Amino acid sequence: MVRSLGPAFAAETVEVADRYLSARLLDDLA
Amino acid sequence: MSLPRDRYRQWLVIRWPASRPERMVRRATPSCSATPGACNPTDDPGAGLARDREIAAGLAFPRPILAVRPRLQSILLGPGRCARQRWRFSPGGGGDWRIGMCAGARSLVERAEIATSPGAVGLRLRRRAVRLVHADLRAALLTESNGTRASVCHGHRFRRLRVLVVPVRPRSVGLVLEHPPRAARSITSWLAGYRQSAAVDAADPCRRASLVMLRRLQLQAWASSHAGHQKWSAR
Repeated sequence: MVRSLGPAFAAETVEVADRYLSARLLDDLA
Repeated sequence: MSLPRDRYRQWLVIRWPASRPERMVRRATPSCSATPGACNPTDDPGAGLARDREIAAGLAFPRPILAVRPRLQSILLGPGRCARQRWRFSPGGGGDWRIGMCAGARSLVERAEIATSPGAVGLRLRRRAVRLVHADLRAALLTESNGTRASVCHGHRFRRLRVLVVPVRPRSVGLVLEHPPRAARSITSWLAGYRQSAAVDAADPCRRASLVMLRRLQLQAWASSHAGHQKWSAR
């Protein structure tokens, strides 16, 4: 279960990190 | 990968059969509570599960989730007693989140990790400020059923609380609850409940995206560092 969870979770972590950094960037520019 | 045997015993795994969600099967070895005297190491796990069900029965969105916490602690610590856990800033506490990531992904997540450092988000590691991170915005401790009911995993009896919730389907609770759009709703509910028990620093709600990202890094570290271990991957 964890083995199958790992790649999916990692892929989503990358997506979340991307959105998070983009939002932070917008906040900084505002 | 091999891990010391005693390390497993500090993890709590809940399997949630989708066909019978009322039958949560818990595999855990109670060790000791964060609060001295709050846990009997020989406590009956079945009794804990019964308490979980009792607590879960009283929860539903959009009721403030944290309202359950004083009740939970009164059960564990005795009437009128309420203790809070301390946050120790260790984003890699479960292992190394970099395992299995390609260079591009690693670079991106590393930048997110830097952005969530206490200095970057204006968090001082004083107790009041950090409680909101660890004890009260711990979305990984929530489970939900049919998208309408929320319940709290009963893990407060464990000295070093590390939790992975693995439902059979559709996806892990961490994936569901720490991901928009449900994350915003659950955080709002947490804050509403928290305000019933204690004041919230005015800046803390503004940090919620950073706190969720920080929690995501911790879960990522756990999943990455245990992905190849037979004890977990065999399930």
